[in-house]
Amino acid sequence: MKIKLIEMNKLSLSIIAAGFAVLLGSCKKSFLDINNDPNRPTETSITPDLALAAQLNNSVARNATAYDFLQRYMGYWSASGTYSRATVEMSYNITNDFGTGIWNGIYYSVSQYKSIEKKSNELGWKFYEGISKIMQAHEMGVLVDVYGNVPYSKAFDLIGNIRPAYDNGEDVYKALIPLIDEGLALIKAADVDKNIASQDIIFKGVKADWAKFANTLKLRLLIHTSKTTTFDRAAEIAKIVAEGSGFLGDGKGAMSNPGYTEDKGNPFYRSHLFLSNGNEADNYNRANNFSLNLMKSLEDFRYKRVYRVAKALPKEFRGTDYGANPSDDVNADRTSGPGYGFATSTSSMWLLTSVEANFLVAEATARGWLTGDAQAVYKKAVKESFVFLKAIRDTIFKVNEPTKDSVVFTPEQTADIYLANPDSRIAWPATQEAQIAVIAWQKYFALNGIQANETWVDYRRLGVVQPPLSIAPERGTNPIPRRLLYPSTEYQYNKENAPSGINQFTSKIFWDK
Amino acid sequence: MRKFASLLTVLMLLCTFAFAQTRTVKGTIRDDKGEPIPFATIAEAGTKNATTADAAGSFSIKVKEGSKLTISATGFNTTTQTPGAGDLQVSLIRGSGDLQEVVVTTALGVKKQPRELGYSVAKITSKEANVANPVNIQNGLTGKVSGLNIATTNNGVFANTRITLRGIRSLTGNNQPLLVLDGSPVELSMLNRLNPNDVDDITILKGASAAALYGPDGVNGVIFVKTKRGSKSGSPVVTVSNSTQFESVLFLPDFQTRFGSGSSVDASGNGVYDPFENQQYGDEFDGQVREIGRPLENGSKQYETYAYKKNGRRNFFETGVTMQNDISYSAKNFYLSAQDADIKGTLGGDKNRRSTFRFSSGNEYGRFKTNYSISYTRQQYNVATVSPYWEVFNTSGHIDLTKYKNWRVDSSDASPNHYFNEYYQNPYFIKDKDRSTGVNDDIFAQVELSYKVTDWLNLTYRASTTMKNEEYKNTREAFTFSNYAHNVSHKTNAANDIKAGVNDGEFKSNRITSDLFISGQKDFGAFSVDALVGHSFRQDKTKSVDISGNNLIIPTLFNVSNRTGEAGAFEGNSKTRLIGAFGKVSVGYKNWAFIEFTGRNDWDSRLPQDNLSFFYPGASASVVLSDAIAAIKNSQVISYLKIRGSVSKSGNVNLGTVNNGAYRLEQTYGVAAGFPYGNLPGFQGSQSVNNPTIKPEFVNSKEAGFEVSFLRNRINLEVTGYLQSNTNQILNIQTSRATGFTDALVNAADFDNKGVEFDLRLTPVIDLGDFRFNFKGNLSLMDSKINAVYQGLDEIGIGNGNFAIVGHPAFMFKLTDYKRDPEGRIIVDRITGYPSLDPNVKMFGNTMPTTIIGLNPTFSWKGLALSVTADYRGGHQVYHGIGPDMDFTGSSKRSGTNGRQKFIVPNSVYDDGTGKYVVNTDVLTANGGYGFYEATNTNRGVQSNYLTSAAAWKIREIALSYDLPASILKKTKVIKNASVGINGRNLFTFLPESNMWTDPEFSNTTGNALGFNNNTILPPNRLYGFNVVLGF
Repeated sequence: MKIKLIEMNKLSLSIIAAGFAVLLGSCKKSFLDINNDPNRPTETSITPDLALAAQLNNSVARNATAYDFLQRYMGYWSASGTYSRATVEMSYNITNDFGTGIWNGIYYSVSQYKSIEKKSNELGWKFYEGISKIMQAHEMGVLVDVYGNVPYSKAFDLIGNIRPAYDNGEDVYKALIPLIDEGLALIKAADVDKNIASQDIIFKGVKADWAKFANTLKLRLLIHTSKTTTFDRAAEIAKIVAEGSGFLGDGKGAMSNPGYTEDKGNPFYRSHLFLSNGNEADNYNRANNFSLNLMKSLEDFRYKRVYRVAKALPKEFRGTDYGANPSDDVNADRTSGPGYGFATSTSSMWLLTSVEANFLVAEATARGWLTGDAQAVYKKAVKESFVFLKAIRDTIFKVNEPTKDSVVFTPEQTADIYLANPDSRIAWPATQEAQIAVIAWQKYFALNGIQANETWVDYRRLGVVQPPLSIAPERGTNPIPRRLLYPSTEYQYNKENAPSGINQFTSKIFWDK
Repeated sequence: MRKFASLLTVLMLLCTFAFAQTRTVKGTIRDDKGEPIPFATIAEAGTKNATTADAAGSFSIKVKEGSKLTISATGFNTTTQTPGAGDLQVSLIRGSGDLQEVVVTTALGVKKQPRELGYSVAKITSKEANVANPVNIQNGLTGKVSGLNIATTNNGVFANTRITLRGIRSLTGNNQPLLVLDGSPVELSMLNRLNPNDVDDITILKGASAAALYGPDGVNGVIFVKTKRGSKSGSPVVTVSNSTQFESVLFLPDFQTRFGSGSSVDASGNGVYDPFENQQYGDEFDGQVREIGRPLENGSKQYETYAYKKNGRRNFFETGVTMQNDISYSAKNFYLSAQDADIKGTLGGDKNRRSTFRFSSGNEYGRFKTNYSISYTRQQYNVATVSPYWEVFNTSGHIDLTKYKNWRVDSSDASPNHYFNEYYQNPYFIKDKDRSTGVNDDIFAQVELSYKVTDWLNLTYRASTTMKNEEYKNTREAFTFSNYAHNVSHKTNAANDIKAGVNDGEFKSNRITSDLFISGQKDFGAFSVDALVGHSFRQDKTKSVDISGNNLIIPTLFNVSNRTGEAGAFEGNSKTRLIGAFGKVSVGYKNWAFIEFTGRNDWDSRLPQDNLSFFYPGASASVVLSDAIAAIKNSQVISYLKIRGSVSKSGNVNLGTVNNGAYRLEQTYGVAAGFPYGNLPGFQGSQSVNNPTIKPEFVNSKEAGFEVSFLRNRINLEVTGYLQSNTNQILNIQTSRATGFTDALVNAADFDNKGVEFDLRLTPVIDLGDFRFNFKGNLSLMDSKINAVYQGLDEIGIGNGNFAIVGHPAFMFKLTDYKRDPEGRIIVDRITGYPSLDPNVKMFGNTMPTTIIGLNPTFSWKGLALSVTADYRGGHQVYHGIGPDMDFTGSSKRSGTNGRQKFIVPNSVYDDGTGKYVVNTDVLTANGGYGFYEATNTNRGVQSNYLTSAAAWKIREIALSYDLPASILKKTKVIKNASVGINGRNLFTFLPESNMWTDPEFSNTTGNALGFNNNTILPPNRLYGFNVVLGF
C-alpha cells in the first residue's frame, strides 16, 4: 500500500503543478485567445476558387433527384410494386412540406452564389463573379416556375431582412434577364481568373460556351412566358441575336464533370441506376406505362435507353401505372427502371442539355421569334435527342415489326426513320399551332427522365401532352398540381409575408394561363 | 502569512480579556456511535447566549461560571449538561424525527446547516439512492426529489437519461445540471461511469442561487456527488456484495391479433394472404397450416400455422442479466473499492461490462490536510448499431421469431437466402450484422489541500483531472446472396448484396480544473460571519478521429486499409478555457437569521475576445421563525419553522455541446459532398450561421419558500416557489430559408419558467415499536411561457415537432392533422369516404410535464425493511413515431380497429356538393383495412392520430431487505453485518388507454425536443433481482 501512496503523491504533485501552471498561464493575455476553429475553414479563409465548383455541383446534382416526383406526375416514371403507395403524392393532396428540397436547395445555392459574387467582386475576379450571377438566374428561374411569387429582392439578407418580403414571380423573371446580361458582360471582360479552368466544372473557363449558355437560359425564360403579354420578347430576342454567340445545342450542352470516378460517380447514375458497390440504386422508380407504351407504339427506340430491361424478365421492358396498389407482378424485379441512356458512372451530368436547347430554338423559330426553317430546326432537335441517348434501332425490337430490321442503325439514322412516321405527334404539320404541339410532344419524349420540371412547365403552359392521372382512389377528382405549396418553415418563420390561401390546383404561376 | 496570523492572535487575546468574568467551555458533540455531529446548537441555559458547533462537532462558548448548557441538534434528542473542568464530551441520542438533514453540502463543498440556507437543496443518501441496486446512480434518484426530472429515454445496456432540475432555462441549449464530483465539476455523463456503491451522498442544488458560485454551468442546478472517504468509525471494514438483476420486456405496443400477412385486397375489399409479405393486411387467421416464403434451394417449403402467436414477437427479446459484484475496504481516511458490473441486455448479444476502481485517502499534518482520490472506470461493450425493432413489427403475428435465430446456418429457413419475408430482413440478422464494439476508459484524479491558517480561516486548493479515452470499431458484416436467391427466386431482399464496412474511431477528452479559495468563519457577538473568496480555472480539450471504409476486400478483416475506394476520414479538435473569480459573504444573527451575498466573474474563451468577461451577483436570506419568535418556539405543535428567499442572476455561455461550444463566432465552411474530386477542392458555407458578437445569457431567478415541522418533527413540509426569467438567450433561431440560412445564432428570446415544489415527510406515520411506517412524498408543479422570440419572429422549431411559440409554454407540438370543417369535424370525400391530410401543421399540446409526483413509503419491522418508490408525470403529450410505422406494417391494434371492414370515419362530415358540410352517417371508407390505415394521406401521415397524453404512473422501485440480527452474526466472529434483499425496478407502468404504444418517457433524444419516439427505441423493460451484502 505504501507504494500506492507514493504514486498518489506523485500524481497529486503533478496535478498541482499542472494547476499552478495554468494559473500562471492565465496571466498571459493570449491565454483565452484560443477560439480559432482548428477543424473547418472560416469565412476569411475561403476564396471563390475554393467554393465555385462545389456550388455548380449542387446546382447540377439537383437535376439528378429533385424533380423525381415530377417524373412521376409527368408520366415518365411510376412506382414499382415493391413499395407501398405514397398516397400524399399520388392523391395530389400535397402538403406544405412536399418537395421542399427544391425551395431549400435553391435558396441555399443562390445565397452561396451571392457570397461568391461578393468575394469575386472584391478580388476583381470577373469570371467568377459573372458565373455566380448567371447561375443565380438559372436557379431563381426554376424556383419561380415551381412556386410563383417568392422572396428575391429582399432575400439573402439575414441581418437586414430576417423575414424577407415576397416578389411577384413576373418581377423576379424580369430581374433575371438583366442579371444574366451582367454576368455575361463580366465573363467577357474577365482575365483568366485563378483556377477558373478547373473550378468551372461546366465550361472549363471557355467564355464562348458561357455566352451560349446565357443566351439559352434567357431563351428558356422567354419561352416560358409565351402566353403572357407583358414581356418585350422581341427586344430581348434581338439582344440575344445581336450578341451573336448563339445557343447551346448540336452536341454542346451545359454538362458538368468535376472528375467523376467509379467511387464518386455521376449523380443521376448513382441515384437511379447503380451504386458503386454494384447494387441497384433505385428500386422505386419504374417506367410509367403511359410513356413506355406510347413510345413502343410509335417505334420510338429511345424507350430502350430511357428505361432498362426488367431484371427478372430479361429483354422485357415493363412499366407500372401511377397510383396503383403494389403487387408482386410489378415488383422492382419485374419492371423497368431508369435506363442507361442518361449517363454512365463517370460521364458528365447535365445542367441544361443540348436537347432542350434545340427544342427551345425550335419553338422560338416556329413562333417566328427567331428566323429560320422551323421544320429543319425541329428535326435537328429530335435527332439531338436520339444522339444524346445513343438510341439505336436494332434487331431485338420486335413489337410492331417482328421480322424487319436486321441491321443496326446509327442514332441519326434511327431518328430519321422515326421522323418519317406520319403520326400526328411526329410529322411536321402546316399550322403554327400544330407545329408548336408537335414540338411539345417531341420535347416531352426527349426530356423523359432528363428535365421533368421543364416538361411540367410545358404541361402548364401549353397543355399539349396530358399525362395520365394517378389511379389512387385517394385522388378523388384532383387534377395534376400546377405548383407546390410554400414550405411550412415560411408560415412559421416568415408568417407575415408568406402568401395565404395557396392552392396547388388553382394558384397559378404568372406564365400559366 | 505568519505575520498576519500572529496579529490575529493578539486581537483574539484582547477579546478574551474583555470577557474576563466568563469562562470558555470547549468540547465536542458526538452521536451514540461516536461520530461527530456537526452544527449542533450549544446554548447557555436561561440566556440568549448560544453558539454552533463546527463541521467536526467542536465548539467553544463563553459562559458564566456555573451555568448549564443545553445542547440540541436536529434529529437528536436535546440534552442539558453542566460543564466540568475539562473539555465537554457530549453524546446525543438520535431522536425520532431523524429525517431532517443535519448538514448539507453547498457550493464548493462547504458544509452548512440547512437553517442557514436561503434556497432549496435536497440530500439523498447512498442508501436511499441504491435501495434497488441501480447500475447507474441517477436511476436511483428518480421520484425522490421535488423539481428533479429524470427521464430514461431508451433501453439498452447504456442508460440514456435526460436530467433536468426545475424545468428549462434555455430553449435550444443545455438544460441539464452540472455534475460536481467531490467538489470538482465533471461531465454529466460521468454519472454512468460511477460505481453507485462508492457514493456517500448526493446533494441536489436545485436553483441557480444555490449554484451561483459554480459559474456558467451551475445555472441549471448542481448534482453534488460525494464519494466515500473512509469508514466513519475509523475501524477497518471490508464489504462484499453482489446484486443480480434480471431484465425483461415490460410491455410491447398493442398488436392486432386477427390478421396475417398480405398487402392487397380482393374484390370485396378483404385482405389477401401473401406468403412473403411484411405487411399484415392479409386475411383472417384460420389456424390452418400455410406455406410461407419462397421454397428453399433444395425444394423444401416453409410452413407455419396461420394463427396468432402470443409471444411470437416478444420472445425475440431475451432476459437480460445485470450482475454487480463489489468489494471495498475502508478505514480511517482510507477507501478502496472495486466493482464489476456486467450488463447483458434484452437485445441478444448486447453487453456492457463496467469495471471501476476507486481509491481515496487523506492525511492530516497539524494544520495541513490533504485528500486525494483516483478512480478508474473501464467500459467494454458490444452492441447492435442498427435497431431490429422495425423488423420485429414487420413480422406477421403468426410467425414465431425465435425460429429464425440461427441465420448463419446456410441451409436453414433463417438464412437471408431463404428468410420468408421478402421485403424486410430477419431481425436477428439485422442486429447481428451491424455491431459496435468499444472500450471507454476514464480516469478521474483529484487532490485537495487545505491549510488551517487560524481557527477561523481556511485555505483550500483543489485540482482535478478527468481523462477520457473512448475507442470504438463499428463493423458491418458482408452478406452475398446465393445465386438461387438472386436469380431463381428473385427475392427482393437479394437485390442488394451487403459489402463489409468498418468505422474505426477514437475520442479523447481531458479536463483540468483548479480551484483555490480562502474561507473564514467568525462570530462577532450575536453575529456570525462566513466569507469566501476564490479563483477557479477549467480547461477542456477534446480530440476525435474517425476513419471508415466500405467495400472491404477481405470481408472478415475489419480494417480500413483493407478496402477499395476512398476512405472516409474525420478529425475534430476543441479546446476551451474558463477562468472564474468568486466571492461570498454570509452573516448570521443569533443562529436564526441569515443573509448571504454571492458574486462571480467569468472569463470564457468561447466569447468574442473583446467581450469575454461577465459578472453576476446573488443574494439569499433565511429566518428560523421557530427560534426567533418565542410563541412558536414554545409551541407544542410547531417544532420548526423557517422562511427563506433568494434572488440571483446567473450567466451562462450556452453555445452547445459540439466542440464544447467553441468556434461559434465565425461563419464556417464544410467540404461539399463528394469533394475533393481529385485535385479539385469544393467548400460550401454552413447553413447555420455563427455570430461574432454573441454575448453571454443571463437567468434571473427568484425563489421563496418555507420549511415547517410539526409534532416534534414527525411531520415536515417544505414548500418552494420559483420564477426564472430567461432573457437574451444564446440560441439558434430558425429562419426563412430565403435568407440563405436555416438558422442563426443570436441573443434572443425571453421566457419565464416557474414552479412550486412540495416535499412532505411523515416520520413516522405509524410507529408501533418494532414496526415503523415512514412516508416521503414530493410534488412539483411547473409551467413556462414564451414572451418573445426575435425581431418579430414568434416561434422557433427545435426539432421533433417541438416549437417555442410566443404566448405558450415551452414547448408545443406542431403536427399534421386531418382537414376539418369550421366545427372541427373531419372532412371526408363524398365518394371514397376517405379523409385527407391538411397541408398545414397545427398546434397541439405541450411536450414537457407540468406535474411530477414522487411517493416513497418505507416500512420496517425488526430487520426487515420495505421501500417503495412510485412516481407520476403528467400534463404533457407524446407523439408516438412508432404509431404510423406499426400502421404501415399492419401489426398495430389500431389498424385492426374496424376489423378491416369499411367504416364511417367517426365525427366526419362531407361536402354535399354545394360547399355545405353535412354530417356523415352513410359514406363508408372505400377500404377499412390496407387502403385506409396503410395510406399516408388518410391515416399514417396524420400525426394527430398518434399524439396521446404522456401521463404515466410508475412503480419505479420496490425493495425488501433483511438485516441479519447481530446476535446471529456475533457467533460467526467474522461477519459484522449482513443483509439480503430482493428488489425490482420499473415493475409496473400505468398508462392512459389512448397510449397503445410505449413508455411516454422514451424519446429519440436526450435534448430539449422531447416526447417523440420512433421505431429504433426498444420497448420498456422491468428489472428484478436480489442482492447480498456482507460486512467484515
